[in-house]
Amino acid sequence: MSWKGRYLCRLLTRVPVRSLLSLVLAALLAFAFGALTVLRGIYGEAYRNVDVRGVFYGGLPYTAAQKLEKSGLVRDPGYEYINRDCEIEYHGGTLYFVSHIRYLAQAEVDWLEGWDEAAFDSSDEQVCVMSAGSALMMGFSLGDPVRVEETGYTSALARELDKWQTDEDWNETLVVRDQRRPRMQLVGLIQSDEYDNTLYIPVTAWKHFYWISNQLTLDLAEYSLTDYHRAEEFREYAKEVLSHVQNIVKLELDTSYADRIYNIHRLIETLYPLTIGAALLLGGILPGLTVLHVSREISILRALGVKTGACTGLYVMAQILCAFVGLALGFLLVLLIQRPDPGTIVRLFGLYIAAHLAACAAGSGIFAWLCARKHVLAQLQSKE
Amino acid sequence: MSALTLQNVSYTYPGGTTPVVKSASCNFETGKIYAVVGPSGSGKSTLLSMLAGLDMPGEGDVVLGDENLKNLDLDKYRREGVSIIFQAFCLLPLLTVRENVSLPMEMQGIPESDARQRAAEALVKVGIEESKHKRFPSALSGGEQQRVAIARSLCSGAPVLLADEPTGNLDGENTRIVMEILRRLAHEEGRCVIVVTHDPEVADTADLVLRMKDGVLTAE
Repeated sequence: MSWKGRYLCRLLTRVPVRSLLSLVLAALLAFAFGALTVLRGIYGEAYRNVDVRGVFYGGLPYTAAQKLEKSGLVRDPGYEYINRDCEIEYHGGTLYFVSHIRYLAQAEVDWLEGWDEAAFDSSDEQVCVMSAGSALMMGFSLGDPVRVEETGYTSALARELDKWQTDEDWNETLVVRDQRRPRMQLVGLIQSDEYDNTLYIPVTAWKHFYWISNQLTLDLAEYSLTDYHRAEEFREYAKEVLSHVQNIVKLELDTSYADRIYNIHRLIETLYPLTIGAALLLGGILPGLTVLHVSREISILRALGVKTGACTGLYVMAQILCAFVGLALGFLLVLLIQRPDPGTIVRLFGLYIAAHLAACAAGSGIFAWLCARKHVLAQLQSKE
Repeated sequence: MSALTLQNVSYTYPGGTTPVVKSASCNFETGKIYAVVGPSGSGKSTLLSMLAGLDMPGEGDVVLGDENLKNLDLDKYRREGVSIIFQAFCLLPLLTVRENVSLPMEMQGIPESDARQRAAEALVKVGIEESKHKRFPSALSGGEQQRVAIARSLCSGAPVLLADEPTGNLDGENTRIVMEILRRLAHEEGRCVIVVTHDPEVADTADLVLRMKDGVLTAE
């Protein structure tokens, strides 16, 4: 081993407290960086996935719902309409119209060939899905047309046509009704009786309905805000859209959870670069101060004829080795304690390690170079 | 035979106007011991600094043998041409006594085993017993540390040995021992030893005393 290698070993081992402090400092800084990175990832993910939903109760007119859909403030609409005392192929009862089949929990659906959940959700066609029990009761099978209507539609139509006084009038009214009622193809059967009396219709197909009043009122309409920071804007816009609606429509829009997530996320985002900056500053200055502490040794080496570059290199290398071991330990600690997904943290950690080592090299290098540039005789004339 | 020569050397600190060393000329010969004396601020340390290649004269030349220092690699000059002994010993605390002595030889490319062997011999020569060779400098007395520093200079093979107040931190007995070793180095091994000192007793052991006063170097 050359004298430089031996001297380097001695630098690392002869003053273990000094080396240990450098190592522990690097490990702590790496752990702090790792922990904050993991936390940042968690809250960043939570912030990106935060879903603030605005829910309208009490009869939002379908025309208003369409306006809200087109406002650009919302996405992913979901509608519910309770069709009371309706007729499904001459069977009376209450039928729930629901737009999103994905709300089905754990229930299996037998699909007509060429259909599945995704195709159904995005379909613009007049299709529907109902429970297998209901279909059996009403004599439907997959592919059959199903006609539905709004509550009180037949009576309203009879009054509109003025065909309600005799049986003959009623028959004529029913003929017109069947012509006007939307025919929806049954494309799926839900294998669960929990969904009896529920008819699933894709959200984009709701516009095909012909409603006698032309003013279907949704019992429930819900939207995800495209940008939750525009919640107030959405609230104001909804107020404006609903200003001509007579019934009282209640909007439930709670941003408190999202606000909490956002505030923490913003705090972490602010602290993150500051923490990295402080860590790199410490990672550069403290090794530099350690080198400054041994400036006398550097002067002795200079007096013995060791070149400035070689002196600087020895002390920089010692500090880098300590820092590298410390950083590796810090990384292991993060993996053991925080248990992050290694794939997401390795790249960031690699960058941090590189930056930390660069700061360490720069800090110790600058101080070592300054020490090596000091006047050797002036340094060594005084007693230690 | 000339070891080191000063030729009209002057030095002014950067930004200063008055030279601290004024046209100093002297021929330092091998096999002799020189003492440079003078009051504080007279320019002794600056002169030593130029002799050691740590500062370059503003005017004039320092010549080692027949090579002008201006044309030499000063780091190499300090490794092979000159060796310095300090008042504060200046041993490397991380290395053992023997490693301190062998370091200059290893820096010159001498194999480690040879360097260690020669270091051990040099240490014995200056009176450091073998049991202390593997100790660290802090475990030795001041006199012993200074003798280790002398052994280091001895092993460097440099023809010129500069000593800056080498006995300043030593008691009377150790002063006598150190000066005796330096005298032997000059007279028996043919080195050129230049000692900067305040101590008249140390100056008395020199073959030639040079006095520095207000930057002017004169032989007594």
